[in-house]
Amino acid sequence: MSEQANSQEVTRALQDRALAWPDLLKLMREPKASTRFDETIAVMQAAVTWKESILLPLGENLFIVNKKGRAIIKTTAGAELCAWNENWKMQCRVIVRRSRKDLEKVFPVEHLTIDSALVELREWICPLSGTLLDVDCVPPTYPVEIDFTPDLKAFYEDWLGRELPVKL
Amino acid sequence: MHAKTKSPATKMTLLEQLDYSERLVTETGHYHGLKKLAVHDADPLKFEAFHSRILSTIISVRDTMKYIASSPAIRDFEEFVIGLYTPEGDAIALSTGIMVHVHTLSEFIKFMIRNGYEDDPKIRSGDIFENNEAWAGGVHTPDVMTCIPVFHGDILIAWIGAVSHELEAGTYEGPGMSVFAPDRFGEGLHISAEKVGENDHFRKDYLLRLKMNLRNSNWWSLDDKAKLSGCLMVREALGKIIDLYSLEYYQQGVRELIEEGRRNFIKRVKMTMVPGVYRGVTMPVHKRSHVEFVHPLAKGDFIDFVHNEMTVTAAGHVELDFEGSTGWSFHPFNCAVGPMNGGFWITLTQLLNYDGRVNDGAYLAVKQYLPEGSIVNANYAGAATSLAWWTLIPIFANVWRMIGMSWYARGFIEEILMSTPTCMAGVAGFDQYGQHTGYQNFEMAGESCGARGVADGLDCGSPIWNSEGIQGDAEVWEMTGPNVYLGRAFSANHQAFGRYRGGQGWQSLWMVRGSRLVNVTLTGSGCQNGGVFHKGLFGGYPSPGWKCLWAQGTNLKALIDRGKKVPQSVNEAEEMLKDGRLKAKRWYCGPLNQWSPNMADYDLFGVIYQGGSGYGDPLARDPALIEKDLTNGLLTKDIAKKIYGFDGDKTADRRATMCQRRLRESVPAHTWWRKERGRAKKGDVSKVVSETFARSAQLSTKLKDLYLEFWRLKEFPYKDTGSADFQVEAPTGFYYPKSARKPAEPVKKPTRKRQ
Repeated sequence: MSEQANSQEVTRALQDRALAWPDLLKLMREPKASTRFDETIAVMQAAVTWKESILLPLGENLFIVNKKGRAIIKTTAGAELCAWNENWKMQCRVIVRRSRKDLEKVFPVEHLTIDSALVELREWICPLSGTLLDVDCVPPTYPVEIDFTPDLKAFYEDWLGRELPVKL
Repeated sequence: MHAKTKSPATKMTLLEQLDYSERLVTETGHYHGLKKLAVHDADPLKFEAFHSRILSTIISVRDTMKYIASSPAIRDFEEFVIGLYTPEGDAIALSTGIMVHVHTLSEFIKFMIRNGYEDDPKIRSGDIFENNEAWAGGVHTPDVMTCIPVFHGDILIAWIGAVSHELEAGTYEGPGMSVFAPDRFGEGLHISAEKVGENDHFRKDYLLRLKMNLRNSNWWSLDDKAKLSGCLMVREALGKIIDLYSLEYYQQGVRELIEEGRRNFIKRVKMTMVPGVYRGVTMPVHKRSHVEFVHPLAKGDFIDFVHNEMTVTAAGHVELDFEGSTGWSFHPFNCAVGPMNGGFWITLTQLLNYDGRVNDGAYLAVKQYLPEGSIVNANYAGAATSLAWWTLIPIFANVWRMIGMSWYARGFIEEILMSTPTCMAGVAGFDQYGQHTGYQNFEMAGESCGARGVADGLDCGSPIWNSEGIQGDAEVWEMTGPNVYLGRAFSANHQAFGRYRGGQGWQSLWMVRGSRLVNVTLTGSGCQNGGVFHKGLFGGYPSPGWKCLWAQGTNLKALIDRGKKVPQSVNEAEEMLKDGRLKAKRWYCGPLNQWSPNMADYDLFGVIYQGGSGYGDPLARDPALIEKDLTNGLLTKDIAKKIYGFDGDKTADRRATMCQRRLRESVPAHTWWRKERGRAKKGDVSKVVSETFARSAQLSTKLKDLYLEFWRLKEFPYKDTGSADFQVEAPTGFYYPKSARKPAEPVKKPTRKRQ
């Protein structure tokens, strides 16, 4: 097997969480491979059922994809949430845990000391599959913020040295 | 001779050298204007051997220092570090240990240069300088820096510095880090960038000062001697390195090491991260109104709200902006520039600069914007920073989480790592030897990490502040103070749920032994008083919370004498106190910061060490990992079923059902927004939260603007800060480290539209 094919297989196994601990340690200790991003995208693309090209993974089950020349945010299950730079959480379903009773549905009673008067949990859920995409812990009434807005243009053009395949 | 004499080589004073060096960075973007690495390029192998010689010297010296030191913090828990610096104070190489001090030592040296120490008290060969002053680059009173200049003939060619964490620092309360001091006047002995020795010896008057102002002065003074010995050993080794390579090679080589460090940092950022803006919130909750004996200035409940915004620029630089954070106050959790630099450095050295080139090069590629007067840049001369870590730990743990998002996007999931809060038991009073004592139990250095991208969080791993931290032997702590362990064990179901869980929570329960007068302070960083440390990643939950316990006037002796059940954990003690099997005159078990009343033999105290946050949807957790936790007693079957949907061969069906239930129980976010907007308009939240928003708006419109935009409101409902409208001037009369200033015209960032 060529070195390139082997590297792709390692990345596939890594994404599948199928690498044994010694292999993971080896990956941690080695210089980082410049091919990793493309290999990762290839593995993720093969795992989803939709056709749009993945531009950047934002988190487990959340991607920025190329939808007819526009960058949009899409979930693994196929929910198309919004444009790449909009607040994708506001296109999800949400469970807000704002009382002790709500929190007890998640946390063991004997250990639970989170004070619901000070913090609420907001669980952002994929509207198609019910997958949990993110859990925010914020003071009540705190605005909903997204955790990451990438600079896609700089990433593709300056860092990867290739054309960004969408119009922003 | 002293450094004021212009050296024949440089013809400049130290101050002129520092100004010149900084000007070259500003003008060229390169350390010392080094566009080319001439020494490196001429013979890369020789250059590598040169660096290895310096680094191995420093690391091996550190190991020797351990056996000179006295305190358990150094001997058993690795709470120290040693490093080599340029004449201008830039870090060249650091040993392993508490890497927080790469740049804090640097600030200490620059403080001395900029404040005219060349003239007075003069910088001579054999001098010893010491500092634990936050205004001079330090983090907090227990972190004591010892520093010596190194001369080659008349020329000051280097500084060597070492830092140890002292378990006792002469605080009002007793343990080294004060939880309740309102200002610096209660946080212990300050050594404010002072000359404390000459001719390679500590002055007698300095050692006497330690003896008179500390409860356990032997720890501090013997640790000082360990640090001085280490500095002298490195000085001697440096002479041999210069003999081997020549002075010219050394001087040029160390500068090239730093410039190379800068270039490598940028290269690594571009190789592993994604440019853009990352956001996070930390909100350690502090409550003291319930504590009986607290200074009136400090008696209050509040949240130190911190808004983290990390920008990775197109140039590969990393910038942290904390605008929107609340202000400093009368408590020891304040940060100044020194502590914030320290917090940033432990992030950089453990996550991005781990290849052995730990030097100040990376500092040239990062910036922190610390709003003056905020919790991250307290501008009151009397501000306490004794427990700055209670702000630093959650802030920078959250930065670890944000860097994890970047690594995920590039596919480097093997690097994703979240950190852990630090939960702490401090003991003060009189020990089993009849001596006054005070210390924090540093088994907290083995607290469990947050989840990783490819594995569960390390159980009993190491905290953010010491990459080599361990729990240590229980017997060490039984010798250190008047207490014996009744139990030290994992706590079942105490984990942050996720595809990969946070490290398992564990707890220690102690019985007072050998003292008739001792009290304890109990607290946690960011997770105490009902707070949450920080959120998890991609659907992972935070830990369920933190608890501590004390019980005074117990019947434990009678239980032991009668051979009855004795509690072995915090939760078990709580259960027995509630059902009457264990009796106490007074007791507390819960999440609030505690300062116990005086206790004596057979009284109890304990703490739960909470692990870090979880990663990914718990319903994606590998059943094999669940079975492993069940087998090890870390999880019970009911929680495995309820949270992870684990039900043997019916797991897949159960998980599908749970997803459907989520869809039924949730609402569209816009529906929630419409309903919640009324509450947001009225500001219908608890007093502490309302005051937090108002305190943020007092310093900046950042959070207020975000709030009004998101909720589409015209008026911010939070006006009352709950505290006096009190402003202070920043200290004057001396130079101290300053924050970078935000550009007047903000760097163009990717637009982010409203929902």
